[in-house]
Amino acid sequence: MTRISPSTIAFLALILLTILSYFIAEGSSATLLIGLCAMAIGLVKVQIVISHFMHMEWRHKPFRQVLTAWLLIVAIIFIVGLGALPWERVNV
Amino acid sequence: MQASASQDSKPDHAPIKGQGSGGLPGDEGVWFFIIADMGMFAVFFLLFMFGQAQDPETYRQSRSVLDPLIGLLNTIILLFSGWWIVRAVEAARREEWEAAFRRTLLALIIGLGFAVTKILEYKAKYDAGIAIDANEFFTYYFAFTGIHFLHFVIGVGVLIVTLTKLRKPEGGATLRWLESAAAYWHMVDLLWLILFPMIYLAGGTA
Repeated sequence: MTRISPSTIAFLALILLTILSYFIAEGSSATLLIGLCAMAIGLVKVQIVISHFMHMEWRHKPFRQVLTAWLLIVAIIFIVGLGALPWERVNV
Repeated sequence: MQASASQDSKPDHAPIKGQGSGGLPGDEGVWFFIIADMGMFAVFFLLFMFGQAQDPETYRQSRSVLDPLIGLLNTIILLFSGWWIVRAVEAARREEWEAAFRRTLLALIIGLGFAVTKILEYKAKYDAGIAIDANEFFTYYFAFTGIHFLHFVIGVGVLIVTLTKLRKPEGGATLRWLESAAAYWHMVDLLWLILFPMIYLAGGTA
């Protein structure tokens, strides 16, 4: 029986998450939750790319830590940035 | 060349150490460049989110002009291309150079679809009279996606050079080059994975 490689599983997950985020954001009116969901899915996808496409899951700790720190900083930027929006006026 | 068509069908899941120092895939210098570049884009994300918080209505209205379907298509193209370059690295680590060449070529051809959709998207904006100075949203839209596109073009050049190296593979040196090229290509992919929801999805459309 042929095993599916981890990179292929990661790729399929990335495609599914991409389509999911599109339909979550497109099929709904603008809310903070939708915005956060779209960004959170994007950040999860980045984590998958770093771990399974860039092969950084167990290699070279300092670089891995820097990438993780980058991801955390970007997550904070989006949480604060989206949280600062006046969602009651943005809603349609 | 040690590869053959039958070798191409071997499973891809054997963990093999990267060619760079400390098991890092690719060249350490490329990783420093990648991290510096990602830092620059983090500043872009900050600028965009700050601008959006200052003037959400302009951003909401401007975002409604964009076609998220094109953003979705671009994301899928880059993911497909990225997956093939992963598979190329996997083949090269088994010294299946012919398979690595084919997969890199496929990654490049699929990746070029991104250029086509991006140029069509820019043309549609141009035809609609939307330029970089239309408002702050579009300044960021053109600047950030344009800089990302520049990275993509450099990546295309790197993949073309990689193909020439894979034609005459030199063992570890060629693998290290391919791993470096792949890491760069994934960075292009990774940055788009943030740009897509930030510009097209999050924050609300009309």
